[in-house]
Amino acid sequence: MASQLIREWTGIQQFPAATQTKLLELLGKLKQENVSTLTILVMGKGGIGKSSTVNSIIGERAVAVSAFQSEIPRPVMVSRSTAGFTLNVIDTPGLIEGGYVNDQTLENIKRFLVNKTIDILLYVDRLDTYRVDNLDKQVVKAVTESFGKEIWKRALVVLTHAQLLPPDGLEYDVFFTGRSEALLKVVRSGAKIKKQDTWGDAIPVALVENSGRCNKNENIEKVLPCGTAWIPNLVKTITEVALNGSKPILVNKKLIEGPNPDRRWKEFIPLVFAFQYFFIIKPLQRAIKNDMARETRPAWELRDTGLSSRKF
Amino acid sequence: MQLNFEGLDFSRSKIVKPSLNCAVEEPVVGKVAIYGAGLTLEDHLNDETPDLQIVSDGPEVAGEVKHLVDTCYKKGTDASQEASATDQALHDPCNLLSSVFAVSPSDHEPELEGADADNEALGKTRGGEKRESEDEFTSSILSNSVNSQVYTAIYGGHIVSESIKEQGPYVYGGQNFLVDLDILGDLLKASSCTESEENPSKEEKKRLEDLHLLKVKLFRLVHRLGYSPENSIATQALYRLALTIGSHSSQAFRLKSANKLAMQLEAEGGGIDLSLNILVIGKTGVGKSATINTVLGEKKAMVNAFEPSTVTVKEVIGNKDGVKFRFIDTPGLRSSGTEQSLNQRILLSIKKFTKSFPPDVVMYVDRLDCPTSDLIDLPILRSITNSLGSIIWRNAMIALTYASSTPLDGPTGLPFSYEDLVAQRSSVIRQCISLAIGDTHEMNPCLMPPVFLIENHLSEKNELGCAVLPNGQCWRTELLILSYSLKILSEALPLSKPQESLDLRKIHGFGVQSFALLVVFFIAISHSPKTFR
Repeated sequence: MASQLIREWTGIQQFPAATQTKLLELLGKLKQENVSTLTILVMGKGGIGKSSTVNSIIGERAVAVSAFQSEIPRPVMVSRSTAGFTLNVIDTPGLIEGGYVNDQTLENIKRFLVNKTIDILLYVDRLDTYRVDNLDKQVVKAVTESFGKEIWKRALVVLTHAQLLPPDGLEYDVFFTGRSEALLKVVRSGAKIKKQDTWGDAIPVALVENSGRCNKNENIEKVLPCGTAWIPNLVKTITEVALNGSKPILVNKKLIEGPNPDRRWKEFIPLVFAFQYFFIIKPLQRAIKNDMARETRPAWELRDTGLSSRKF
Repeated sequence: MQLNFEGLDFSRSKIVKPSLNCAVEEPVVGKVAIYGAGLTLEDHLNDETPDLQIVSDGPEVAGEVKHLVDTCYKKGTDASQEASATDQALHDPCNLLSSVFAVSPSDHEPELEGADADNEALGKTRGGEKRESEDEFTSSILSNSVNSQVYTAIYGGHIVSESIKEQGPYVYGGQNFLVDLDILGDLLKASSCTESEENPSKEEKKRLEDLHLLKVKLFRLVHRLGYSPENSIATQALYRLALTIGSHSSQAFRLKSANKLAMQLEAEGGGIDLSLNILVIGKTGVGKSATINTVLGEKKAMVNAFEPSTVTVKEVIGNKDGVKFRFIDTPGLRSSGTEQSLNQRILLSIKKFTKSFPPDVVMYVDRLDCPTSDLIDLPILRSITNSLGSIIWRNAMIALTYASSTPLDGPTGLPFSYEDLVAQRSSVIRQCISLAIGDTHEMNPCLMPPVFLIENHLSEKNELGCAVLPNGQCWRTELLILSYSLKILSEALPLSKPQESLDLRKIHGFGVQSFALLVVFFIAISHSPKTFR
C-alpha cells in the first residue's frame, strides 16, 4: 500500500465553483477533527449505479461503467488526495447473481479489504424500484455477516436514479419517504438491528443522480427534483456519519475468517481439568475404595489372603 | 448493403431487379424488388459461403444483436433455387426470410415494434405518394445513423410499425422493406394464374363468406381505433386471412369490398362481437396492473408503488372500442432464488385460471430500464415455460414498460441511442425465452414474440389522447391492433383450407424461382399446424 502513488484529486476542479467551495469546506471540517483519510466502501446489488456514483464523487471516469455490462469484475480502490486529505473509494461488483448472493464475489471483496479500515459504508440501491424483496435482505445479511453489525453505525443508504417522475401521481417527497422507509426496514431486519438500538433509526438516506441529463440550478450544480444540489449533500451526509462517534471497522483477518475454532475457549482447559480431577475422579476413587472395604469376602478368599506372606 | 441478384427473372411482373452490387436502389413507391430468400438459421450457421453480406459501419451494438445479424444473412438466392425443389421449405415456412419489398425512405427513425411474429414481410405503403427524402434513405441505409435501425428492424423478423407522423404509414418488413398492397396482389395473382379457376363449391363459398366477415370485422376495429386500413399489422392480418383459403383464389383479395362494407357498418353503428383474453405475466413491480389500467383507460386494477398489490390471479374485464377485454392479472413473480416455491404456487394458480379462460394473447411484461446483464431473467422464464408449457410463447408479446425512461450514459458519457437500448433489452429477453423453451430449432428468430414499448406514467398525450413515447409512437393503439389481429386470425383458423399440394413444376415454368418461394411460403403458413397454437 505504501508504494501506491495516490493521485491528486483533480476531479474536484471540474465541479462547479459552488460545489467546490462546499466540498472543500466539508473536507476542512474533517481535518479539524483529525480525520485526514476517509475510506468509503460502496456495496449493493448489480446494475444500480455504484460505479457511476463513484465516478460522480471523484469527478472523473475512474471506474469503467457500461450500461450493457453492468458489473466490474473485481473490487477497485480509487484514491485521491487534495490539500492534505486523502479519499479512498472502494467500488465493488454487485453481490447478487442468478437469484442468490454470489459467494465468490463476497470472498473477493473480503480478501481485497484485508488490513484496510472502512470509515463509511455506502449501501446503494435505485430510487425507481417499486419493490423490496428477499434479494435486498440477502445482500444486507451478507454485508452484516462479513463485516459485523457495527458497520451499520457507519453506513448510509444511497438511492440512485433520483431524477424520476413519481408514479401514480404521488408527490416526490412522499414517494421518496415511502421508498426509503421500505428499504431501511429491510436493512434493519437483515442486519438484525434490534428496536432498542436507536442508532438503527438514524441511518441517513442520500439521493444521487449520475446521468448527464441531471437538472442544474443557476450555479450549474446538479440538483435533485427537490432543489438540493446532491453532490455537496452526499458529502455532507458522509461527513456527518464519519464524525458521529462510532469506531471505523478494521478489516483484519479475524473479521474475515471468523474466530479460529481451535483457539476458542482454550483458557478453560486447566479449569475443566481441575474440575474433573477434584470433583469427579477423586470421589470416584473414594467410592471405589469404600466399596472394596465394605464387601463380604468368601471363606476361600480369606484363607488365601495370608498365603502371599507365608514363608515356606 | 451489398446484395447479389443473379439468377432472378423478374420479367413477368412489375418488379424491378436491382443492379448488382448496388446499394438499395433509388426508391420509388410502387416499385417492388425481390431480394433473396434464406433458409433456416441453422443453415445459416452451418453455411460457410455467404452470398449475401451486409456491409455496415454501424455503431457498437450489443453482442447478441450483431451476432444474429451476421448469421441471418448468410445464404442468398442460390439457396432459394435449391429450396424450391425440396419439401423442406414446405414444412418449415417460417424459416424463409421474406423477400418482397419496395424501398421507401424514412425521414425519421423507424421504431422498433413487433407485429405478427409468424408473418414476415407483408404490409402496405401508402400507395402512390412520393417521399421527399428518398435520397436520404438510400444514403442513410449505409450511414451509421440508420444501421442501428437496420439491426433492430431485422432482428427477430418483426415488423416495424408505422409512425403517427403526418407522413403516413409505411412498413418495414423483416429487413427494412416495404410492400405495396396492389403489387403484391398482382404477384400472387400472377403465380396463381396457371391454376384453373374452378367454380367454388358451396362449402367453399361459405368459407369465403365467413372469412370475408372476419375481414370486415378487422377493418371495423381498425377504423374504430382511428387508423387507416393500411396499417401494417392490420394488412398482415388481412393477408393471413386471405391465405388461409389458399393462394389460388383470386377472390382472396376482395379487400376493397370488405373495406367498403366495414365503413358502412361503422357508419350504422352497432357492436362488434369480439372478446379477447389477455394473460399478463411478469416480475413484480414492473407495471402489469398499470398497463391494464392504461389500456382500458380507467383504473380497474390496484397498483401500489411500494408493495405488491396484486396478490391473487384475477380477471379484469373491460369494454373498449366495443371489444370485450378480459385481462388476467397475475401476481408478480419473484427473482430471488429462495422464493421459487412462491413462484410455483403463483404459476399453478395461473394455470388453473387459464384452463377456464384460455388466453388469446400472452403479454410478458418487463421494464425497459432495468440492467441488462446476461440472462438474469432466465430462471423466471424457465419456470414460466415449465409450468405453463412452451405453447404460451406462440401467441405471446413482450411488453417493455417505463419506455419513456431516458437511456443511460454509455462509456463515452453520451447516452445510448434509444433503439440500441430497446434492441439490447429485447434481445436479452428473447434469448432467455428461447433458452427456456430449449429447442432452438423450433423457435427461430422469425417466431420470436414481438416487442411493444409501453409507458404508463406519461403526462404528455397527443391529440388523440393517446400516450406518446419518446420516439413518437402511440403505443396503445398498436397493441390493440395486434391483439385484435391475433384474435381474428385465431378465429379464422378453423376455416383454413385443408392440405393441398401445389404443383411446383407449373410455377417453375414461369422461371421465377423466388416467386415459387413466395407462394410456397404463403401456402405453407396455412398448412403449418404451428401457425398459432
